[in-house]
Amino acid sequence: MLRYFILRLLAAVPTLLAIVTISFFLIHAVPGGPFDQEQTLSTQVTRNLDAEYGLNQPVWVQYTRYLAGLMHGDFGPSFRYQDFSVGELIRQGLPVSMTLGAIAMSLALLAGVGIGIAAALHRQRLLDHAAIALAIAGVAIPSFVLLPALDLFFGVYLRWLPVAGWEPGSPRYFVLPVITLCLPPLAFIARLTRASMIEVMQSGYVRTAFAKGLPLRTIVLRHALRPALVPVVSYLAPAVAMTMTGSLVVEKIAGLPGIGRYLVQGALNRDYTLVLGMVIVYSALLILMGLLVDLTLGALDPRVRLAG
Amino acid sequence: MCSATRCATRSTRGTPSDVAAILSVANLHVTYRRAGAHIESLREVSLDVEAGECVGIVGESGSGKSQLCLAIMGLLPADAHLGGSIRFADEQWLSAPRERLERVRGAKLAMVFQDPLSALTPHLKIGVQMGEVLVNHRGVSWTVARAAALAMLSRVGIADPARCLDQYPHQLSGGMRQRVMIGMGLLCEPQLLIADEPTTSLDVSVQAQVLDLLAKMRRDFRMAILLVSHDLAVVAGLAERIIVMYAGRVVENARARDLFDRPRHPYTQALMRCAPELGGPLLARLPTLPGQPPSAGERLEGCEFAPRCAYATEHCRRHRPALEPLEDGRLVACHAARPA
Repeated sequence: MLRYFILRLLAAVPTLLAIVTISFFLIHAVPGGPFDQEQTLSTQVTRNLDAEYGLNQPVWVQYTRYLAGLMHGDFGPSFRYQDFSVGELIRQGLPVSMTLGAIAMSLALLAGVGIGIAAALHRQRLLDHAAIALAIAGVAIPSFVLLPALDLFFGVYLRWLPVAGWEPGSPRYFVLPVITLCLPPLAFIARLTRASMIEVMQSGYVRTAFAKGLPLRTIVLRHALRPALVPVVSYLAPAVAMTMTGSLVVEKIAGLPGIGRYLVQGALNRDYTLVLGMVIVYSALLILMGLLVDLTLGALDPRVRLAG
Repeated sequence: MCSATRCATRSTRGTPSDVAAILSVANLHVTYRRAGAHIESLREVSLDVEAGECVGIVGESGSGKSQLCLAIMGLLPADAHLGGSIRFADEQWLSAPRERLERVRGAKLAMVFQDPLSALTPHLKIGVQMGEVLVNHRGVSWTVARAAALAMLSRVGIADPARCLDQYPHQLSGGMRQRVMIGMGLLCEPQLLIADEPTTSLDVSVQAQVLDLLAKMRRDFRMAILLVSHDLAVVAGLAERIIVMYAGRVVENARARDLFDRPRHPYTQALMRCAPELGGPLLARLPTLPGQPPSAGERLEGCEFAPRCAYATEHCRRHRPALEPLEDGRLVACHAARPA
């Protein structure tokens, strides 16, 4: 088990290297550069800036210099936020985004699984229809509609919660963004759980459990839940990585100092180092989650054998 | 018709009717309404199982054997419509509340399924799956339940029962899994064990062992067994009475000896001809029964077997024969078996 864990972590290094390499050459292949939008700058200034950041060097030299920096944990300077290094930007924003994402995903998992089970057990009845309606709404309503609507209702009309902003240590600012963030994965998890629960409840071993005279509660919790969770857990790896690296829309609307905006803005601004830094954070999180998911699947089903 | 059947069934055993039937099914119908069509999986099924008796149920796939087992267990899908009556241990079983079913299922009434690999929960150890039966029905502690499971495993012939308790179903062989299933059913000493094709998924040599085990357990526990198989040879060694089903109906219900000596329903006769014979020519082609049973949605006016029957007359195709007693007490649903 420990051996498996370490081997998988080691295997992540070449994966990350490949991702960094491909991303590096892709972003550099995109036309334009970090300083192209500043039309007021003279050619001489632009040339000086390029020289300062090493952009006048051949791409492969820039690549090796970037890698050398990475080996020392240096993500390089941001081209856009010129007083900050990429490392500083991520260090400041990541805890906010991760806290938000972790709370949202935990809520989505708990509520989604609960709703999914309830819907599966009340198939084709009111509760099931309500759950399906919620699932459709959760997937269909975009966050840029939901969050302003929540803001309007709870923030402006009821004045229960702040409309936007952020104060360290004050959970009040988190409530509405978390609800907005958790609804889509919650809806998806509810749908996944419902479908797999319905399937498992028709399986031979659940029939045996009924034939043994066990009460429904025991059958669901002891016999059906673990196999029914397998597709949900598989879905969690990309979903958690996605949610924890922040949402551009939600953080922008709620005015939260997370990292959600960096990937898109970085790409638009050709902020090479920022984009790469975000890609590394996202990939590392994805790889780690993939590993955790595989370990969890092994715990859910003893027939899964972990082979290093 | 129900009372006639019951009397007739009793008289076949040559015992006075005070022998209590542990299970009594009368005029049972099971229908499904699917895609607008009425699908009948069981029609007018009546049978009795007496305490300690072993009754075999034989028929080809789709004849309603498994539906009958599930109906008795109260495990049919929610959209099944049931009519008629099922009495278990002198209790109306069909309309019993769910709590009552839960109390009796797994305790007085147990079932062994066809494929023990898919019938055992893959992520729970054998000790848990067996132990929970006792924890649930007897309210004992897990320690006590585990000890009882251990004792049961050695009774059903598991070589290393202590090890087996901590194993998962996929780590056992097919024969061991079926032994575990049987042992699990016997933990609360049931009055009736329903075994639905208990040997079908097993190798031939293991089949014989499992049948021997069932016979031994039946003696030890003095319980009744309802043994279901598509294979006459499987029920032959164990059952005192055999019920032959065709297209959701009982077509013949006779003492095993009488049935093998002289099958009276043409379908029973065909089944026996299709069985390979020991000592027969090795390379001989086994006879087969041509044609298909009617599909569950089909409703024939006359005898359901008529389209495949060598003796069918116009009368058979028009009028369905009732299940009626013959001179030796057996019940047969065939015009040809009874000289008019």
